[in-house]
This record gives sequence, structure tokens and C-alpha cells, in this order.
Amino acid sequence: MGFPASSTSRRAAAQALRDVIPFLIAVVPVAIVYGFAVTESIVDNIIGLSGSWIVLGGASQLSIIDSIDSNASAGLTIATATMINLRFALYSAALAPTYARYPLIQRVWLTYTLTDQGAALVMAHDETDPDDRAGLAYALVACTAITSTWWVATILGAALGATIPDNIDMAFAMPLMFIVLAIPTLKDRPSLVAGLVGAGVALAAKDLPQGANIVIGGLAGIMAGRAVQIHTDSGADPTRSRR
Amino acid sequence: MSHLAIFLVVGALTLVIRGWAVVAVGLGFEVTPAMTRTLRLVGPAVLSAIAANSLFVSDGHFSANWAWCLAALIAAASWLKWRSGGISFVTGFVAVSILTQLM
Repeated sequence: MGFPASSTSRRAAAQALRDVIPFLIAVVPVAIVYGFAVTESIVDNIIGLSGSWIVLGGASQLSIIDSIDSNASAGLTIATATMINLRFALYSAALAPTYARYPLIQRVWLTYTLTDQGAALVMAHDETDPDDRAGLAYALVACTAITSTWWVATILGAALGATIPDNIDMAFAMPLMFIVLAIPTLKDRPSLVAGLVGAGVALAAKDLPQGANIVIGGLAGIMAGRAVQIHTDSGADPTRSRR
Repeated sequence: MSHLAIFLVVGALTLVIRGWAVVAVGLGFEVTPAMTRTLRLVGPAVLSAIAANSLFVSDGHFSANWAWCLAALIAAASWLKWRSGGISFVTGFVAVSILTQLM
């Protein structure tokens, strides 16, 4: 049974709609790139576009299309895409305590619709407003808006991709989206160290199979950021007394 | 293996990845405050790793596209100025379009 609707829920839903708009603007170009990539691929259009609801992960979907077009084996294609999606395990762990307080049906839906953008929004909201009704309404609206936009925009990309002017570099949408997502999370010293180490290790490990360097970089960044947190908590940080 | 089967297998594995912690916590696994603080580092670490990889690595090789790098810096500066993902995204796209023609 869900939480009853309340003014708290409505306010949170309205806030989610406001917060999610910049992310939707960022999602649409990437989705269009994916839709266009499907039409250029050897993968059947219906199957390729179905990837948007079967997998629901832009980077991994693009990797599947790319691997198939490169004649990679099915095993490598699956392993690569799954490795890219391993980051969702970390988001799942971050949001699990919050989601555990929600009703089952909503929990299942929020688990399925867990994306980079949705996780970033829900985590940020959870830190500022711990109210369960508000949190559930916020998460449902934000995650559903992102997911449905992804679905629609990938289809649009397949339909309209050929009309995109040549001087618009659609390939830049992917790095740009992740940069715009990452920067707001770098808000204190531990998160800054986590980001720098994560990026550095991912680049240093670029020779690993595709996607593995992201997982290793992410884990290294988390460990480095945690080390900074522990160092700060222990009082060994000389700047701590000034805060 | 058919292309549809590849998508279905990746989709199923991804759903397991997305759901493992939600199920574990539902079964009584406790997330401590220390774990919560650690997990807050997931976003910056993983997103930065993906951003750096997509910006600087192509097919397993370093590939510095200077127009992309400059446009990324401009987008980052735009976020610091206006604190808006949408404005940053549009700024980045406009920048890369101009820079690509200039460089």
C-alpha cells in the first residue's frame, strides 16, 4: 500500500519536476545519439530501440551496438555492457536504505528506473529532506520522467537522426552529460579527492577491457575519498580545527 | 546468440545489479552511518571516472580532442557560474560546435 497523497508529496513532486528538467535536457541528446546509432547499426531497429526499456542504460546500450557492429563475441558484448552497468550496484547500495522504507511496488519500479541522473537527484534530495512521503514522491517523479524521456527520445533519434546538421557534434553529448552530472557532486574535500582519483585511475587503467577501468577507477576513488574522511575524523587534518 | 538475446541477458544482469542492495536491505542487512558516508562518494568517484574515460579515451587509446576538452572546461565553468545543468549542457554544445569549426 502506498503512502497517501499529501501536500508534502505534491510539493516534492513539483520540486522533482523542476529539478529534473536540466537533466532531461541533458538526456535527450544522448538518447537521440543512441537512436541514430541504432539506425546506422546492423542491429534490427526494433531490437535496438527495445534496448532502451530492456537495459535502460545509455552507455551500455551504445556499447552493445558498438560491439555487435565490431563483430565482437556475444560473451564479450555482454561482459562489456554489464561491467559498464556495475556502477548501478553502487547507486543501489547508496539508495537501498531509503528505498527499503517504500512500498514494494514503488520499490520495484524505482529499482528498475535507477539511472545515473535519477540516483544523483534522489541522493541529493534525500540529504536535504528525509521525509518518506516527500522522498517517495520526489523519486517516483524524477526517475519516471528520466526513464520515459529516454524511451521517447531514443525513438525520436531513430526517426530524426538523419536530419541532424553535420556541424553539431552529437558524440560530445556523452562526455558532456557525465561532466555536468559529476561536477555538482564534487562539493567537499573527500568528494573532490574521490572524483580526481576516480578519473585518474580510470585513465591509467584504460588498457583494461572496456568498462573495467571505470569500475576500478570508481572503486579507487571511493577508497581515496573514504581515506580522507577517516583522516579528517581522526583529527589529524590540521585544517579541521578551523571548520 | 541473437541480438535480442544479448539485450535480454544484459537487461537481466543489469536489473540484478540495480536491485541487489535494495533486496539485501529489505532482508534485514543493515547499512551503518560509516557505510552511508562512504556510499556518498560513489557519485563523484564513478561519474568522474566515466566523464574522464569518455572525454579522453577512445577505443582503448588516449584521444585528446582539444575542442572537446575546451568545451568541457567551458561547460564546467558555466555550471560553477549558474549552477544549472541545462545551461551547462547547452553552453557545452554551443562551445564544441564553435570550437570544432575553429580548430
